[in-house]
Amino acid sequence: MSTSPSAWPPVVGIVTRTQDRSPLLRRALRSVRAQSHPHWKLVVVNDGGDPAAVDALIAEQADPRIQVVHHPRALGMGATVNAGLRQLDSDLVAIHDDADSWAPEFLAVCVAELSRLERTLPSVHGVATYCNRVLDRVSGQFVEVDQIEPFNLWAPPGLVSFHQLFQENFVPPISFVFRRDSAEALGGFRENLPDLADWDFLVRFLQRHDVYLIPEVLAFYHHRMSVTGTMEGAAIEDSHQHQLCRTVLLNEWLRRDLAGEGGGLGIYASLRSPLDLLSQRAAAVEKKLTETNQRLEDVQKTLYGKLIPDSREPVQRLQDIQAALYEQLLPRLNQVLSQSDRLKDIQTQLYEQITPALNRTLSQVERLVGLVQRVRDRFSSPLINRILRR
Amino acid sequence: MRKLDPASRAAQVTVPVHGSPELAALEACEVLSLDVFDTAIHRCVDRPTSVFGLAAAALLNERLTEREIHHLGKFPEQRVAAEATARDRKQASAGTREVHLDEIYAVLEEQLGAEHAPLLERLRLAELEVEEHVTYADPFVLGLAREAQARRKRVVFCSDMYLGAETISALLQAAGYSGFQHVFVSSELGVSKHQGTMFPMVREKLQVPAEKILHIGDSAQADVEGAQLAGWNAIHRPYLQPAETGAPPLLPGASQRANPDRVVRALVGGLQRRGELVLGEALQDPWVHLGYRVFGPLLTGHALWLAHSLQALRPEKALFLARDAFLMLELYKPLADRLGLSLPCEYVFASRGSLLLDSFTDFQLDRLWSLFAGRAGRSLGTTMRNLGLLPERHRDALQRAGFSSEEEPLERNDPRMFRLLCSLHASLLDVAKERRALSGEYLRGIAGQARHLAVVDVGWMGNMQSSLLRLLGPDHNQFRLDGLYVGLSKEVKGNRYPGHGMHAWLWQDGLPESRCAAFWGGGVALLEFALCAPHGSTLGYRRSSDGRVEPVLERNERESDYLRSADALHKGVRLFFQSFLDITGGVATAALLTDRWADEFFRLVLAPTEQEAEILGSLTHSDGVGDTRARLPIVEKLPPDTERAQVEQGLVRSFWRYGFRVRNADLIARHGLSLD
Repeated sequence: MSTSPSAWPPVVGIVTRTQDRSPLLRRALRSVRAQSHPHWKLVVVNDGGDPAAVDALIAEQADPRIQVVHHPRALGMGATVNAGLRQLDSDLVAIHDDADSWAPEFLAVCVAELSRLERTLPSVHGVATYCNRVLDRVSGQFVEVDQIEPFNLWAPPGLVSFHQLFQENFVPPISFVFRRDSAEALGGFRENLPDLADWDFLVRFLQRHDVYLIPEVLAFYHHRMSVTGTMEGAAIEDSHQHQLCRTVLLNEWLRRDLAGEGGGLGIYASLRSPLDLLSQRAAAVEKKLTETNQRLEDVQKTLYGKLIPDSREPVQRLQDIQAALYEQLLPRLNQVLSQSDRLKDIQTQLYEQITPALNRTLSQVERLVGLVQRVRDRFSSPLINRILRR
Repeated sequence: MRKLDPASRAAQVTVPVHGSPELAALEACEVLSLDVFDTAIHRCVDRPTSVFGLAAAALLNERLTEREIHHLGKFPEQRVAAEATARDRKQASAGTREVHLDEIYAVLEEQLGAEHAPLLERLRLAELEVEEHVTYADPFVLGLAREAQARRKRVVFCSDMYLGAETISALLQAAGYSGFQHVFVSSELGVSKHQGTMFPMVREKLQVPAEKILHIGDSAQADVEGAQLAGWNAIHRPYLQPAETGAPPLLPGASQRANPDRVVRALVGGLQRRGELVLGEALQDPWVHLGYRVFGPLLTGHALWLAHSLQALRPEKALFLARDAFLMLELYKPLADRLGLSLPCEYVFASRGSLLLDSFTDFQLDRLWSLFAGRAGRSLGTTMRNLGLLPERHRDALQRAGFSSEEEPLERNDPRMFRLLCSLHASLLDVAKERRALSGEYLRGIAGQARHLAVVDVGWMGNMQSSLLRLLGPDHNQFRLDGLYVGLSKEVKGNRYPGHGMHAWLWQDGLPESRCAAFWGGGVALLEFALCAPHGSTLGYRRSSDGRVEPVLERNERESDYLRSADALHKGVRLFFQSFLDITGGVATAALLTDRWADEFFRLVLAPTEQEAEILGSLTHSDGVGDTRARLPIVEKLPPDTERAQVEQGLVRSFWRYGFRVRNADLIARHGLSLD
């Protein structure tokens, strides 16, 4: 973000992807226009949908800050976002998908926080806010909110942990504002992934910069419970596709590492995968134990209510059974947990060993990017640019 | 140590003596002889030896070495032991146990070493100054002495005491006695009342027949038997015993170390006794009495903690937030003056109703419940309108949430209302945005240029602090807020922001659990009543004709009884606090930092008397955010024929479960209910 006084207040460029979802786009436009931070430019990228409907909606707004780009055919998430980004010249950018929404203070708070962090934590090139998951119902031209639940409030505020984000993407695009130059340096979003392009982008972003999580619930990550027609394609993530893309990425990273070209991400992911599995199993055992204990307590309470107050013998027997069960289950649980601890130690050791290699690779990559940039500057021609981009 | 203005001492109050047996007995006498300590004058501490702890605390204001601090901690114990040694030695050497203060300090110097002589001299002076600060006249005995003088009788004082006649004379004069003829003191005369040897000597000096002297004192043996054996007239006037003041008796051999708990218990016990004696008439009003006895100590302790916390945190400005902080600010100011704190302070007109909704810059679900919390069963329509939402515009959403009409009453923590507000979240955020234009401007105006603010509030979940922070604007990350609370529950977690502080005096983040339970079981409702400001609730803000943003205050007739009672209670609090200020002029307030101040409050919450449960339980408490019209009794008194289920429901509705237990004791016993 530019720090020159003339750049204040900074303009935030916003990219909104849409495709034949007028009710959602209408709500998204309202969300952007309700921002208390008035310095923004919005590029609506119509990814292969009916241009007339989008044009009509934007004309309704009569807001010169909004422009539209039409794709004659759908190019997918990465390409659509990149197309939007190319239209923008602002220091900061945000992705506001047509399905999602912001609280009116979202941009104002993010801009203020980024400005403060620029002085105190220069490694921060992006901020995110807490967000709620909103479950929508769409019928015809109407969108109704069915339910809201916290989405990522479990994450500690402050710097986003690369380690945690690698496990799952808890920073959806709607909650993220970042520096455009940093995104450009990363080559924008990946265009050949049908899903998880946002996770891939964040993983690459965190390889170079920090992201700061603001503990205010200013973004709404919408999902749809039941949908019809063209809405269907954008309903709750297709878990199969999601898993497929995740595996594609993990395989790619590991392949590069094994070929000596990667930064260690693949090896790191492969090592932690069994640990994550074990942690999940330990959590499942613990949950089961808690449930069993709860059931036993319920039974005990029921029996207590039915027994004559003076006759405590059956209750005592029940407590004995409970204690015996505890004794049997507890060692097993401890065994699993101690294995998990041992594996975590191994993981830490490996991580410590890998980190220097990872850092070396990252600096190599940075040098390469610099080199590419210099080459690009020197041989700036449309033909060479096309080759480089490929 | 700060000198007192004698004219300001309430101790000069007298009570009528006409018709009393003492005045009748005086008729035939020429001389009125009075015992001094615990008869003519009293100390505002629970027992005489507590003076030593206060003397040590007074020195803590000075620059001290580590070793001196160590000795100060042990001083009360050492002072008691030195007095005993001095008396034993005197007995052995002169056949009397009467000693002078100088002899006691000589033993101390001998025990601690000559290098501590300067410290001991400072302690001796501090002890004398504390004596002057803590003593006050018995209003009846002062009245009697004045009446005796008006009838041209001579007034003398006889005391078994280690202080000199000159010192005691000064104490008596400071307490309001004047024109007396003599002060006879055992430490100087070498004779005593308890041995019976002082009375003949005094009679000799007064040159008056024994039967013409009336002696009055609190000791049946020393004052009455001794005087009567010498042929004097004597009347026993026993002073309030420690047991009557609620102060626990000191076990033989128990430590007298100068820890804050000990000093504060001594002060509270002594001030309670002073209240009974000197302020008897004022304390006849049950609210004033409650204020003096319970909330006076509590809020004095809180003010001390607050002043020291602000001194440590060093904010640029302190904001006393909402009605609960009105009295806190009043009590804090004189303490701040004493500590030399020049921190700018400002009272902020605010309420949950005026800030909570406005502060919905974001949408944290936990916070949503507090927008419609309450036990009064308000209608859906009323609740929605209070939140700036028009039910007629959202009929479909109402139906989807499970409501059939806007007249439908809401249940406590109604999940349908939660669902409805979720579905209307965008509208709610718009309402909040519109409303905070004024509230935000008001709060930013109060914050001024300050960036590090202290927020003083009663508790309990930190909602107001986080609301205030968000209302300071999107650039609120430039501010640092330190909240200072009486107590904070564990739910405060959701309102914590990194880099901002939330500090509590009595319970922090729900711990200790016993205190947390006491507060949620009634302490919250009682304290909110006790702290209630004399103005109506802040409903919102408006722009005045001169362009400023000003608060809109409610005029609520239904609240008038509540406010009147709170006002009387505040009177009692002020009386206690002023007495505290009077007697602790030079005491290092750091030596008084303890939560012992809250003992009587917790006693009230957990084990109220029938009278306390009755008067406090009958008060009505506002219910819900932004609507003080709905008021519920703090504790219902249920009719004698109430069924078991209704009693249980009554408990759930009650704001004070321990008060409920006392107010409905018969019903609870009849139904065999256990309310634990």
